[in-house]
Amino acid sequence: MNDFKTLPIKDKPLFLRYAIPCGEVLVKRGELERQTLLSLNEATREKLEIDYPIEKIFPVASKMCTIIARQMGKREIDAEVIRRYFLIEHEKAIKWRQKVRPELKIEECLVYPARVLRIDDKNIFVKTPLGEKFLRPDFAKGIKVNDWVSVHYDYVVEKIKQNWIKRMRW
Amino acid sequence: MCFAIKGRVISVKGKKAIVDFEGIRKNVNAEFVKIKKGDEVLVFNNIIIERCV
Repeated sequence: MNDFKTLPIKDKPLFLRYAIPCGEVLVKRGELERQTLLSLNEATREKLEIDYPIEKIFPVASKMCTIIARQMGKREIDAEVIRRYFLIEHEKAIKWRQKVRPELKIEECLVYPARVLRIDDKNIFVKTPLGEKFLRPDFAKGIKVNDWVSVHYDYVVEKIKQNWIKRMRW
Repeated sequence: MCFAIKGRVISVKGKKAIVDFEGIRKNVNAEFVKIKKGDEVLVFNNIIIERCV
């Protein structure tokens, strides 16, 4: 493949919080070993050293973040770049793809805000623009009732601030 | 899921290209990857991110 150079990811845990939720799709497509996905999840959840070539595992997201970083005059993919991609540009990209491939469902791919309503050992119950739903708590350590969080597939990704929510189109 | 769509380059003009996706043609950004007419490319959010060889 003829590539442009992907910039280094400075905030790997944050990148993986947003990328891991769609890892199950990569496993189903045969592009990622389930054990690798589980190891990435554990490393992110437990704040372990991340020693995987995540730019190769998630090449499209890495490249899109690289383009955004370059546009912002940055030489690495930091938290601001990651949030700008997944919270703002990602939705445009998914909707562009649906115009080219209308048969692809997009709802699960979208990243959107949610308000935490209830927390128990196994689930986090949230209110989202797409309705109320139960989410996985893998990355939700420290999240409290009434917090605003970002959602990708069935994961709570992170607590998000109002300035990001205002920039999201929800 | 961030996966790109494969298409074929129909024409290139500066930093823009027309890419055919099995009958759907789009004017896309071609500034990040060197391409030429006939190349198979991966496109996401209207940007060519990879040339398939």
